[in-house]
Amino acid sequence: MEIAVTQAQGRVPVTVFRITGPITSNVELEAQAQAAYDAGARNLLLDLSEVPYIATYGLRALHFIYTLLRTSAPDESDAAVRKGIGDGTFMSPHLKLLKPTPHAMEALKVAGYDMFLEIHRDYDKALSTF
Amino acid sequence: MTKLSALSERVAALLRNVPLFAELAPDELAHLAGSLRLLRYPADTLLFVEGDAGDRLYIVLEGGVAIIKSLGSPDERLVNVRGGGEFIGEMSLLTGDGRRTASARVHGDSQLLELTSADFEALAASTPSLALQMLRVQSRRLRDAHDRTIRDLHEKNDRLAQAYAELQAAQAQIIAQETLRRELRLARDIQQSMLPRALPPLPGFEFGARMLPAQEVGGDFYDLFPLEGGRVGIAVGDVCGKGVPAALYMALTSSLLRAEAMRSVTPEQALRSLNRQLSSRGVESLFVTVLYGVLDPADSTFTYVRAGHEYPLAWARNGEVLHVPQGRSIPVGLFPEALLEQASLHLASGTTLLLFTDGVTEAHGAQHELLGHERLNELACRGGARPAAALCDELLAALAAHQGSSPQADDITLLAIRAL
Repeated sequence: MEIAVTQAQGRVPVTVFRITGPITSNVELEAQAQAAYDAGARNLLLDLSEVPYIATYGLRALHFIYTLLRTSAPDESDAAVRKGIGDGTFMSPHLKLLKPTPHAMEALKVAGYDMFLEIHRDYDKALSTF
Repeated sequence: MTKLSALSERVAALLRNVPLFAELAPDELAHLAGSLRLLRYPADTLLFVEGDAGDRLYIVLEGGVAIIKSLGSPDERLVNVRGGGEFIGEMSLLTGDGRRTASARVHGDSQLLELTSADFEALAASTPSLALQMLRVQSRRLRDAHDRTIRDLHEKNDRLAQAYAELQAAQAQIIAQETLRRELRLARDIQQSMLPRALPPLPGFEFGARMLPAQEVGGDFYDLFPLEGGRVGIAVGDVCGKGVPAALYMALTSSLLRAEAMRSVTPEQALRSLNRQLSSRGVESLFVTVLYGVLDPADSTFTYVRAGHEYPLAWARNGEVLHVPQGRSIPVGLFPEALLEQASLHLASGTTLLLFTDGVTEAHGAQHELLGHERLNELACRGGARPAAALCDELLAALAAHQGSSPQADDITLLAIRAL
């Protein structure tokens, strides 16, 4: 798996990870996300158009990144987020996914990640939602 | 070989430069010159061998001679290289037994002067200063040899001590690895013991289940247990991860799930309680996908919640694939509140329901190609109805064939329910 990191601009700065290869380990993706976070990144768009599939460890990494970006968003009340997750109405404003391949999409749907992570098909549109 | 007398001028000049003869008077030097023979040797000529009888010594005029102990053996060691003005081979003349104490090999093209034992003794008797000079040189050489021997012994001792320390460390590592292997085997036995020993009998249904951890211990589990009203609780779970952390989390999850299932009215209640319990423990980034349901033989209904778990497969007796309601849900342990939708499925006679973990669909072959859901559908449904345990074994065999020599990447669990 390879990760190319670029910077983009929505209404706020957005760090874009373009991932190539299957996500079968959580280590590298979490480390890259942590490094980006430590460098100031607070909004992340993961381009999954070159990810043939996501294994369980990949889902673990996505949850890690979701939690990491939540820690710097104290304005979002825990209670509201909790309720939103429970109702299936909450979507993370800080972590979004772009163009997952069919297999990756299947893994996301099976695990219910599409219920708290926005999934976009268009890059510009995805950026504009940040 | 050349008689020195024929080269008197040159040899006399050479002898004057030899420290051993520096104090000889001109007539003694002339006498000595008459006793010596000048020899020329090409490089690498073996002059004498350790243990041979020796009755002459040599004085190096040009080139050099290597003194070697234990020549040709694994212990071969270069003692020294004697250069111009130095003498060699005197030991066999002095020790009495006349044996060479080391071998000598010419080092580069060399010129040597040869002195016989008889001439040496006569010269030593007539020239005490020569004997004294030789004694000095000999004493120095003995001291050097002694120092070198001590140094060699120290070095060998150091190497021996280092080798011993390495051996001790390796032994400790082997013991630690063996202890770890033993503990992992024990952990595996404990984990296996947490799986149901026998699948509960339920009139009108039969069950089959198999679990293959990828390592000694794994994060998959399955469970079947009787509930009130003749119902059976059925669960298949997969902790995100492998190895010991996943195994510990699996043990926690399966124990909590059984306890919550016993006191909950619905599968949804049981999983909500399980989710709260796991979330409150705050184990970072560990979560579980689990499908838990209750099979009620009274109306052949399986009511379940699929918490982020693989969609189950269902097919009729003739192999026709049946629609299985999925329900929206996320894995347990991710968030304190989780969306967990309950669904239900009627298991008509002849229907088979297969629950499995992603180790099945993500099993990969030599070219990293996944087995995938479509292939699993073909393998499972194609054969229509067959005994649940036989179905599991058949699928495991197909998985093994798909994987070939590739290592098993993830834990594999299959649980089949067949309505008779």
